[in-house]
Amino acid sequence: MARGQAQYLRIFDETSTYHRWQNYYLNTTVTIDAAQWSFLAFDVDGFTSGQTGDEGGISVTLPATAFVVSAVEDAIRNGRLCELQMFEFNTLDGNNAPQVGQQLIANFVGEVVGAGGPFETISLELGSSLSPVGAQVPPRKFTSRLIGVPAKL
Amino acid sequence: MSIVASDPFDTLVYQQSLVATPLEEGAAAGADNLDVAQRAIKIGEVVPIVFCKQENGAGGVLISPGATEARFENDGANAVSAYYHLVLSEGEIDSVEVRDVFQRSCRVGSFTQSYNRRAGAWPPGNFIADRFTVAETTGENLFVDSEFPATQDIDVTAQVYTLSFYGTGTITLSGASTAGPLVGTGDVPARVTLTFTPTAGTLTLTLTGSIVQPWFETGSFATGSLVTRPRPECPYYCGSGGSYRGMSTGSFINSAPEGDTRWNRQVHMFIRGGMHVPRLLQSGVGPSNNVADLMLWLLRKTGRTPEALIDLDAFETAAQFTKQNDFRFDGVLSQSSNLEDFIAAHARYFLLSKSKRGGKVGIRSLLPTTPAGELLTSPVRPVYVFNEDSIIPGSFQITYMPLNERKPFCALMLWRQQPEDDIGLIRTTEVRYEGTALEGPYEQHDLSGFVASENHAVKVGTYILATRRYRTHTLRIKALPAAFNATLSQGDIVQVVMRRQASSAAPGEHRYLYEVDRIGKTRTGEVSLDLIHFPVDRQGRSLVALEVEAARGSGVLLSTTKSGISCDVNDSTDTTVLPDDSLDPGDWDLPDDSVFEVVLEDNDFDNDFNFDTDGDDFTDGGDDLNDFVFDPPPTFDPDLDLDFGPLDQPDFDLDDDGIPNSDDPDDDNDGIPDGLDPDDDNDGIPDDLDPDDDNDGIPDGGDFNIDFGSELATGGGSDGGTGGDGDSGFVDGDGAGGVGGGSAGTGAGESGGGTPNQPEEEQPPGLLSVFFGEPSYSGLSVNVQVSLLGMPEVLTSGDVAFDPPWQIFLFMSNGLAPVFSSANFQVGSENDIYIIWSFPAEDGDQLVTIEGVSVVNTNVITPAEFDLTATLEYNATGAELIEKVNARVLRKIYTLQSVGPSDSVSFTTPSVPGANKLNGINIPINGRFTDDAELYTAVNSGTGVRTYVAAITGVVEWTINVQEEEFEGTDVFEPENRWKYMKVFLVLGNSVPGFAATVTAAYSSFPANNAEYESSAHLSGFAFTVDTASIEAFPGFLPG
Repeated sequence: MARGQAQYLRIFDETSTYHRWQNYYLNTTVTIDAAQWSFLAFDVDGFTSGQTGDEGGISVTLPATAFVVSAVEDAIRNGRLCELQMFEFNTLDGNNAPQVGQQLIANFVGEVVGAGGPFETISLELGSSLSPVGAQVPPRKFTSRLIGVPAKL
Repeated sequence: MSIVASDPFDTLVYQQSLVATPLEEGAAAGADNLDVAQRAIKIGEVVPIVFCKQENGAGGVLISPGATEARFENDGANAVSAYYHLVLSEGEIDSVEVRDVFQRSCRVGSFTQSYNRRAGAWPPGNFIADRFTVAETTGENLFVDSEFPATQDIDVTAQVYTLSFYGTGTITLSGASTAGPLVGTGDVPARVTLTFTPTAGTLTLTLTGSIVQPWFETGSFATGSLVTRPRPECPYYCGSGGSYRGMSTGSFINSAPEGDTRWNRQVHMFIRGGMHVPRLLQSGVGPSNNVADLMLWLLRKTGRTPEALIDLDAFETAAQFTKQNDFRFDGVLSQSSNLEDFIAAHARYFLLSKSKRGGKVGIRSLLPTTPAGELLTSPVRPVYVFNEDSIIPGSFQITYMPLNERKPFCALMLWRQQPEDDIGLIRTTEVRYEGTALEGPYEQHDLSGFVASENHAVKVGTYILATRRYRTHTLRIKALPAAFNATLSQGDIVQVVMRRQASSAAPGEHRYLYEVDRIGKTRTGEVSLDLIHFPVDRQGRSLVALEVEAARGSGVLLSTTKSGISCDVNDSTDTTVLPDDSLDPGDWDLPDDSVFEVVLEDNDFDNDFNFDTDGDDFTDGGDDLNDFVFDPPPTFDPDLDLDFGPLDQPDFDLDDDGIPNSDDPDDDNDGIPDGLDPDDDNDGIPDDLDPDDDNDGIPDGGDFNIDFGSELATGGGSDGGTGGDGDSGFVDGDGAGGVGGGSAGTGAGESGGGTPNQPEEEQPPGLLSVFFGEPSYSGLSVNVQVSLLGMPEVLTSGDVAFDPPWQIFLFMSNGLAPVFSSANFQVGSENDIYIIWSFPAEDGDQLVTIEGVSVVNTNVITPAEFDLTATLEYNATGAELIEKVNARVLRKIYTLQSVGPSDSVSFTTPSVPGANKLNGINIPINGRFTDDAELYTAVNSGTGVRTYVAAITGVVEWTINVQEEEFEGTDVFEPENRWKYMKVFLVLGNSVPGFAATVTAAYSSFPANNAEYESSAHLSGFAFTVDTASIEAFPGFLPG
């Protein structure tokens, strides 16, 4: 088997998908389940799934074209989600389009919690915006709106 | 490339037990003193969460709520009545019964409960008054109960008596004497006396008015003097009250006699059913003791975790696990903490751990389980065996547990014994292996704040001990990708078999089972695995699971040690729930919400950017000289406006002529058509000064009502109403003509001249506005049905002119986009064909002028199957390219990439068996507009997703549903979030002139509290036939 891996990156929210990119089929738009994925030379540092949940997020590096930068800014501003999928397949069975029998070997969904990089590339940090610091629970505090001026007993 | 980020390896050793050694030990968290002063809530404290559910007599939690308001008053005997307004919990909790209310440790007082509002009806304040008594008296007071004087009969003999009292009332004598009456002369301390000699018999003293300390004694003068009683020292700052939205509140009232300060003691309550939450294992909302429900609720309420990032499957599995093993949470969250910390601190005591799977947050069991959630105590089979063939040489890295983690110790488990009818007590249970750590060391784990089961505490203790006893090491390997790559997940059990072959020693074998803790995958293919030793017995059964499963507590319940004469006033078996006597929130004089908030204006320039239609980066009107299409002031005139509201306005039909203002050409019935009337609503305010010209309750700036008359329905001229109001808002100011037929509108606005309707050769698009009003905050479902009849069969006519086709916009007055909103095509014949395409605004769609749609294959389509090829041709007027256009044909979406000016793309639908009509297809609807300007921007420049519907045949009808309670992240009880009206805009295509459309709209699904509108006449009679040949141009959509 000649193992090939293709990664797919989707930016979406609850109602719409805004971008679908893949990084394997050069300059080609491929179709999977009627969804079309255009080529973008992005790079992913690896997928990690853990039981203890303490691992960090995933870093994705994309070319910093105006379009990509705009897409990233929109994603951060609007709290959009990114889904990364890694498919594995046998390249001997075909290398021009996604194979029907390709296997999904990793999947990651996260928010764009950070982005940055040099002029040529932009790196996205995907993860959860659930902050490990700061008070969050219980979620509500007693406010003047809720209780007015409280008694002093 | 492909660097796998991970935590330092050393942490894995300590993770393997996953129940860390406590860094600090102290008194039990669940132990509270009872006889303490009533606590007052301070601003900034967290709203406590009471999370519990009593099941089979077990569970529940005693809470000691803080007070936000108080009232103190004393009676004539100087007894103090104390009123406390208490906040019990976030959310709604079950009703508290009489038997479950304590002050100190006694069942006393009266308690009522409410939710989402202030409990009780008493105003807060210190109403302690001076009270008096007569002291230093030598005579005997024959008047019975001078503290609470009342009319009474007294047996007397024929001798001299003196009657006296303080106050302004009157005592009238009858019977044995008719002397008097004795009339008071003033408030305390003015004392009046009456000396008289009755006949022997019964003297009746009748009291009226204010009588203080009446004395009736023998002798010719009154003895004693009035002294002021000690004034009870009650708090003076008693609180002001608030909205108490979304929380459970209680009103507690109790009295204490003079000198007894127990009125200030802490109130406690035993809660049997805590905060109502959505439950994973039960339908609906209600109290729960499943920690998975709690953690999921917290995760959602933090507002930082999108729903898509929550691993609901993991939560459900965890909920099943805790239910099967009877691990219950009965406690109160009253300390502010970080959510991650909270989960880490509490999940371990339910043998759970936070997990992350594919980026999604969840929790999962620390032990293998069956699908039903029971502990897996049967032999375990590895799902994959790693050996020399699959492990990358040099990647094998083993770490043994350090010595300090392997020494015997005693787990001291603190838990709460919770009697069903009494205050709980804190218990400890020592868990140790036989013969070890008899004198320690001890490791204390405090579960008393939330665990009310001995077995639960013992099983956790057993897990802590067993993991440290049996788990000896952790392992990290890197493996070549193989069949496991697609199937292996964290939590799976694998086996590692490695043979040790040394020339100078006997061969050995490393053969152990492991639980997969972490998987890392890279593009180069190698898979990094963090593995935790999974100790098993000879049968392959998990040693830890076996011991946890077998662990049981002693089952001995200790006495609460309660002794002495009971101080209970209320019955310990009284399950009565006193009725909620709270007032309507509107009955309290509370400041408006705006007092407590500052709302900053959103100066995001997104909308301005959208005005940059030519791509020259000049965004604002004055700068963007090339923006010849959208230059302000914009004209935005609906050609047809169905005005349904707002329905709560009493003057919706100002002149009561049966014609709603929106239909009435003369709203105030003064004989002057509104278009010519300087004061449309006859309210005395000239229109140019009147913020609401037609008195429909909608400020003119947001009023799209064009006051068209009934003649519109017949195609006659409009009343020129779009220009008539003459408001400052862009809607009316420019005064485009109405939607009437060929004749010009007659009304010229006060400030803006009405633009006559001018039939044009090239038919412009039209704009339909359906305007709904319904002030509501829950349960409202608006159902809009718009039927367009007689649409031409454009698909069979070849090319479809297109500038523009159809657009749907949704305007919500509160600026909030509903989570669920869709337009569904509900009616269509089997042979109808629809093409729908859309593209995101951020792709620069305003740069695009779509020139047309060519349908290449227009063969008659059979209901069973069809094959359609369509070509989109369009030009981009700017330099930038179109990045993406989604075209949807019969539920198929085609993404067209990087198409340049004048490019054409084509797509072919696959053969789709079955019906080809679009029933049920969802069309994105634009929302989130807070004012007309934003809406204008959206309609003109395309905020969000534009959806075009072209080529419609036959009858089309669609429904738009908006369920406001589904508004994401919205407290619908906040007045500013209630929406007043909704507008649906439909931009009519001008592709084929002369077609007629019938538009109807109606409400449905009213909430119960608005049922009176259901049959309202306001909702009928809105059917119009519009000839598109006469629809006024909408300049914003004309090609530049």
